[in-house]
Amino acid sequence: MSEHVDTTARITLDGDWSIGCVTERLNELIAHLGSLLAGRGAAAPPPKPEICVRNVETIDASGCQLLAVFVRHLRRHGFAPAIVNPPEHFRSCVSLLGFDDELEGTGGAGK
Amino acid sequence: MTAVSGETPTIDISSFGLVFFEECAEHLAEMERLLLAIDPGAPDPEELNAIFRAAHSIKGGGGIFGFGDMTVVTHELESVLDLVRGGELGLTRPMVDLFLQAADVIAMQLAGHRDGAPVERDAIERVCGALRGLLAGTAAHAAPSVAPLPDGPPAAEARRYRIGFTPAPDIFCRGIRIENLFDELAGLGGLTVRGEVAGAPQLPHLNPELCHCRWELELETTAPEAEIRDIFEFVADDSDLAITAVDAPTAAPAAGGEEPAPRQGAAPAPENRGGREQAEGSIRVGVGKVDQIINQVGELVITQAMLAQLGAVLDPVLFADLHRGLQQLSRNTRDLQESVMSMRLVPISLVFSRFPRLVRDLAAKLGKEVELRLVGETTELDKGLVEKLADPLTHLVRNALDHAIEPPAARLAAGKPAAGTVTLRASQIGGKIVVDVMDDGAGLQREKILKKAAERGLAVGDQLSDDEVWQLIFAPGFSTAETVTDVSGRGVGMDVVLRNVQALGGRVAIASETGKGTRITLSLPLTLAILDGLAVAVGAEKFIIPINAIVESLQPQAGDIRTVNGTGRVLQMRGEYLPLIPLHALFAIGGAAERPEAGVLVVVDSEGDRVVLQVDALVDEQQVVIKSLEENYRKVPGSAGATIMGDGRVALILDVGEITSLWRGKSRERAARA
Repeated sequence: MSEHVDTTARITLDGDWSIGCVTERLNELIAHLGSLLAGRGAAAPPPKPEICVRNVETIDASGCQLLAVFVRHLRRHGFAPAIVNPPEHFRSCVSLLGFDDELEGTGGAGK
Repeated sequence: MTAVSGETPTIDISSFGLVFFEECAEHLAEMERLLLAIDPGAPDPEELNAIFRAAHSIKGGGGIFGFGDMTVVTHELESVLDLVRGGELGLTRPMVDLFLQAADVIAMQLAGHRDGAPVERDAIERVCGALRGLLAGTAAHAAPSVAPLPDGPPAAEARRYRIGFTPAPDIFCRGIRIENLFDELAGLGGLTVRGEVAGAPQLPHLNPELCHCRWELELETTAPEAEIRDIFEFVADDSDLAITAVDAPTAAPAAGGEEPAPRQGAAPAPENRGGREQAEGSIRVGVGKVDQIINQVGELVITQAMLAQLGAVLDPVLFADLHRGLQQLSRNTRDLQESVMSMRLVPISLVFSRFPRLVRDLAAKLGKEVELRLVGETTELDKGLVEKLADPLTHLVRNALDHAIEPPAARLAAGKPAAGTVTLRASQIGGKIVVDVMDDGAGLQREKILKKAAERGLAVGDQLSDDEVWQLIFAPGFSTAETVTDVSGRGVGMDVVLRNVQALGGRVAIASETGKGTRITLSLPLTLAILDGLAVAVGAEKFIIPINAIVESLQPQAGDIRTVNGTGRVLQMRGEYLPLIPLHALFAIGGAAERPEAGVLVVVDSEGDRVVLQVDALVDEQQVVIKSLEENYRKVPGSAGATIMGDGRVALILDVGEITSLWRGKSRERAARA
């Protein structure tokens, strides 16, 4: 009988993800990245980051870019991130800007 | 938290907004020009396309910069224009009027965003409602059996375009909203978008305010490529954009798997880019920056003049190289100054372009037929002058239409064509710009003006010359109009015209003939910053006489000077008697030569009147930088400003016309006392 281990690491994003705030958001993401890397054990499977964007109030192209770079970075480190609970405005912005592919497989940012 | 990168750019959205405002104003002016020129009975498809593109560009820019209200009006306008150019809606004169009203509303919204000017929501609603009414009418009448108009352009076929968009890194900081841009594109047809960040730095090294994305888009649309490019007009340079038409729409491969188009050199040459082509050879620079350079060059001119004065006392043989160097410096400084000044020169068409619309609307309102002729539109003058010339010219043109041009019946009865003519003519004469406002109307009525002047308590009599009578209309509140209309007649026009033109260092002259028409001439300096002048000495003081006012100078013999009882002296010259104005007396300067024969006489021309200025000596001809006395001290009667001489002293620049008026006033007082 195999043992089920919940490896989900939950990251909650909120607030303004537009050009006026992206520098601040970058620092938050770097902090999240540091926590994920620090919490990864040598033998254990990498945690699956679940990025909840329910409380993201505003997002524009700069915010989408930042999020896409973050997701890429996580993948490069062997994580399999998933974006969850995208509100409608978030979903439509990502779709309009064509970041569906970049955020593909992240669980809900697509079309 | 602190930023992770020291490269964080400063966000200055306002400067990009200013570019949008300027370009939007240009689009509006172009739209108005085209609408005024278009023949509703047989509209030129190219003109219709150009009007549509102008509206579309305004809409696109408005959306990108977040001026949503502007996009609403332009969207309605664009929709109607699209039907017209597609031959689904026939163009009529009332429709052209409505389009012009829509342009006015957009201009009002623009002014609201740019200057905080009030915006009339009712006007916006009225125009939008009327445009929607046209659209609704078209939809109601549209039926499958309705064929396109035979003369209309053929329906365009849908084509697929592949668009590679690699924006400049600072695009986010410029306040441009890429989502709005793509939304605009989606309005043209079916759009698929793929954004990628493959080229972005690693997260810890990312500057999130810079754009590291590139986009691959596919658009299936009936719109021409130029329209797609128009959407990117405020956003991307040619090097940022690669648009390729895919010839087989249905067989085109999917965007995925395509190699991204190279950023450099990939953009095909646009076929029709409107004003963009004209802009390719120029850059927009703020007027403030140009003025800063002009001021700095002005200081350089003063320094150069000081060096020239210092060098002049050195032995020309021993210091030959220094003298050559100073001469070269003088030439280079003058060239630099002329080049810099030319940066401020703009064509007067910037002002003239507003009058076709004004005359059209006003003539219709007054029930008159008026043809407007514009002559010399390419004449260039200082940008500051152009802006300040608009109001006086508007007053004069409105007056010409309201008061001068007669109704068609009256003109026919007088043996004139039913349609009157108003001509605006600009030309450069010497160092001056002369603008004539001419009409072939009824002309000024001497008796009526004298009667009104007498009623207002002005000291007038039949002995006044025509020129002096015409000058009465410049009195504040003076109007001979029988009725006050909302066009003119309140007497708040001509005195304002005179004040504004005088404030620019200009003059206003009137010539009129009853029944034939009136010509009002504005003479303005070419530039407000630099002057070619002759330095003259009076006692221990120096003055600058503008070179363009000087006719000649001479040393008189005793017999050349005559005294006229009570009014001073005159110079007899080649059969003419010219009034002699001793500057030392006018400015109360001691230590100057009293007798004209002991000094030098300078004959000057003031708007056709010649007078003679008595000075002690001619000093030097030089280019001087005009400094405002009003700003730095106070208005000195008879002066047009001041300048700093090579020795560091301040010299007044003489206003020849004002000096003549001052002297005549004093002469009249003396005569009255006598």
